[in-house]
Amino acid sequence: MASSTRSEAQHRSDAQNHSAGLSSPAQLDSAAIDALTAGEPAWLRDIRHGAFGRFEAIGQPTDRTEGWRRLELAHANVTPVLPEPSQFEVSVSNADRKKGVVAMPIADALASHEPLVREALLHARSGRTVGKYSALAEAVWQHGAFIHVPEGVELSEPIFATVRAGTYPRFIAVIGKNARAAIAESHHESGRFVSGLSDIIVGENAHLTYAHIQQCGPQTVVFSHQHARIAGGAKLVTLNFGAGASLAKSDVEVELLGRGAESDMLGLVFARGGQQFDYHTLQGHRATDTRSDLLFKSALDGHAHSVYTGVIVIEKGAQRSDAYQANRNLLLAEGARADTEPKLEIEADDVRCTHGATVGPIDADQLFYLASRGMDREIASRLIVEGFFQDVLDKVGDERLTRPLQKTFAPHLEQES
Amino acid sequence: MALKEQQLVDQDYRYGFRDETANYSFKSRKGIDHDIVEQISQMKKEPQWMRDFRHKSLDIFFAKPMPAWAKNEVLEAINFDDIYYYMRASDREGKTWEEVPEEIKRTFDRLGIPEAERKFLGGVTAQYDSEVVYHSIRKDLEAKGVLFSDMDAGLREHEDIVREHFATVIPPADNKFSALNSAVWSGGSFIWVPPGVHVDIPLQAYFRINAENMGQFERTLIIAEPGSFVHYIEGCTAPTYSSNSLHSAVVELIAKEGAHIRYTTIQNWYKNVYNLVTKRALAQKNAHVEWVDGNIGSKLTMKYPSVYLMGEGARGEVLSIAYASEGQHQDAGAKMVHAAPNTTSIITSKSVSKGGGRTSYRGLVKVYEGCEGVKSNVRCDALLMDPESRSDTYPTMEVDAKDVRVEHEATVSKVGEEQLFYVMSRGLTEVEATTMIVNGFFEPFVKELPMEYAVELNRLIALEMEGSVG
Repeated sequence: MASSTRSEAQHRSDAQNHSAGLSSPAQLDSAAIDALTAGEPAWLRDIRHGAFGRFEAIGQPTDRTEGWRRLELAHANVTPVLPEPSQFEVSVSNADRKKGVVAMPIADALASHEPLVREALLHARSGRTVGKYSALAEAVWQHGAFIHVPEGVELSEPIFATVRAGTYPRFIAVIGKNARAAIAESHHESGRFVSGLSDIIVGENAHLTYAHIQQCGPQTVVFSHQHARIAGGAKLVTLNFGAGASLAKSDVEVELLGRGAESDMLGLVFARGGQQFDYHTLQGHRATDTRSDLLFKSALDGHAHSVYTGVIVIEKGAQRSDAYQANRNLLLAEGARADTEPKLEIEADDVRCTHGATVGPIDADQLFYLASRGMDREIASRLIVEGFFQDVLDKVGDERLTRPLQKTFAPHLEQES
Repeated sequence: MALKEQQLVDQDYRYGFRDETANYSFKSRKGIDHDIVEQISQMKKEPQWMRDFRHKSLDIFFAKPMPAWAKNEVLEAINFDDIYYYMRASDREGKTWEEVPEEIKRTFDRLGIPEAERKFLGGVTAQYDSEVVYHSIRKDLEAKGVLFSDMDAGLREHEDIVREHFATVIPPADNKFSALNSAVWSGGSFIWVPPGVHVDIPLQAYFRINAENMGQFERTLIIAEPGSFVHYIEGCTAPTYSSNSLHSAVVELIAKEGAHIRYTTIQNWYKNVYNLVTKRALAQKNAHVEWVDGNIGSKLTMKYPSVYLMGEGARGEVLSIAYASEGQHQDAGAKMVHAAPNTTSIITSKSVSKGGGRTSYRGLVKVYEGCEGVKSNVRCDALLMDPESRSDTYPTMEVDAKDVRVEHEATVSKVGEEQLFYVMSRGLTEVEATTMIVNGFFEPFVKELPMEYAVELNRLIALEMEGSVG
């Protein structure tokens, strides 16, 4: 296995690695940002203060706030907390490191590759939607990974970034022109509150497969905001996998900025008990001849609740855009709920744009078919759910990223009945 | 082609004439307050409960904000103080055609109402501005016990039925515009169909706005008793005038057990009319409600016909088309609320945007907990005719029950090059070919209409398409 060769390049980071300025401020305010970021370059502190201003400008969401009203906030404490000690690792193979690939804690990258980090952080922000919690993450992040794959480099092994503890993870990936890469960002935090922000920049004709895996603790409220900018001729394949957290609210934004840019956006949610999942997706067609294809699936057990809101935007002039969006919900129990709102906003005429959404139980015909082959009803249901998911995993097209996931969602299915 | 030239001359607005109707017998001053409401109620000699209802509704109107979800700067531009809320063109209703004032007749003549009458297409209730001026019912309908009158007469003559059902489907507090309508409503249709009665011919009403800055707030209530059937058709055209006009109707349908109501609308207001309408139906056990809804005119239409499926086995259907050209926004859609098991619904929406026009589909399918066996299918198709136009789709599905099938599908595209090429290779011009394709696109809607309406709609589309290519 590659893990042994990779271990020497593995970066571990614990809270104590961070600057001594982290002497627990009393509350989240501008002074706290100053205290937390003492010693950082001025440009970065400017970004942080700007973001904090945006965080403060947006009121605390209630169940009447648009974009929040479908969630039961009474069952989840969404009040932000002060940054907590973090624990995470990012691993890259030695071979890839030798090709000039940078994959390290963002704090380390700031020290060793400041110009690269600066350019990425400044560039990444444009076009990203402002959300209250993503603005907070942008203001107060203390840990996370910086990944840079230089022009023309093809990664031989995927890069894995794994977060086990902490509050405001920050993640930046820059894929140079004509480069090829696969990256997995996994979350296993179990504190009360997590809000992460990930920026992905894909250069011309590059290819990136990116998996965002959320397996946080059952009591954790998790916010996640991913924003990707895709240049001409480039392709991004994303997978969002959601299984943990008490309430998980995610924004997944993809902007196709250059001619011929492509994006496949995949999502899998397995929700049980009283879990609440809320995914909001954007397929932004901002250039001609762009293509996007979205498939988000959720299976809902117990009295879990899934909210999906997705929008395809085709800008004026983005002719010959081709966009597809599908949301499929499988209701496995009486108390489960699914809300789906797939939206289209089209301002160009030479386009092909289609979306579909379904909500329903396990197909009775499929169940009957398997049962007629002598299969136990529960096993049959499990197989059908597995098939429902496998379809999405196959579309990712990179087993190195999805194989570990098959293992992780299998136990859920075991426990399901 | 001579015909084509004539079409080009006419294309601006087919019903763009305007009668100089200066002799309005009563015209309230502009703006809205409790005095105006009191005046309206006094003029109509209404019972105290209706007067109280109007005043209460006005307070709700003042208190309610504009719908925030719409984010519509066009909506914000409405100046409620610059609108007449009540006007009556003649002091009394004509019982026969001869009694209808001459100049009003002339307007109707050009719209073809007498033909409709001659063809015995059922009772005609024609609304000229706020008050119903002409109204007739065929004798056989009367014999069956069907009540069909304007809403004011309905209130006078059948107060018990009205009081029992009025505002039970759409309370004043439903939204800002239903509150406004509840305060100042005037005219509209009242229909009551006795149990088991099948009304074979469609009942029709023409609505028409005439005076400048004239608000029209009709109120329609249709009650179909158990096992009955009725088809009501409402078609609107409005003459040309310069400043914006507000049309805000409330339409309530009640389909009792096993009853079937079909409600057909063709909305072709002139392109300065705000058409902000609340339409909702209750469908009880095994009842069936169909909305057939066509939106061609107006500056801004916001209309989402709904069916609340309250009893087991109830069915709801919405078939809707929208056409938006320059300066128009058709924000139309449908809502299906499944509040009982084994209820089914179908929504089919088709829209065409041209010349910078914008069409939006906004819809809701809601399935409440415990409503097993629900089936719902939503299908939206949009055609974009040029790069300036815009199409949005905002469907929402909320499902709280397990054994249900809720499906939504939507497509947005332009008229296919191959389709055009194929038709043109048969010798048609591009305009003719486009018209043919658009007519074909609307076909599922058009074929649900009575013949006269179908013919008229096809002609309207042809006129609209004239300027679309080249």
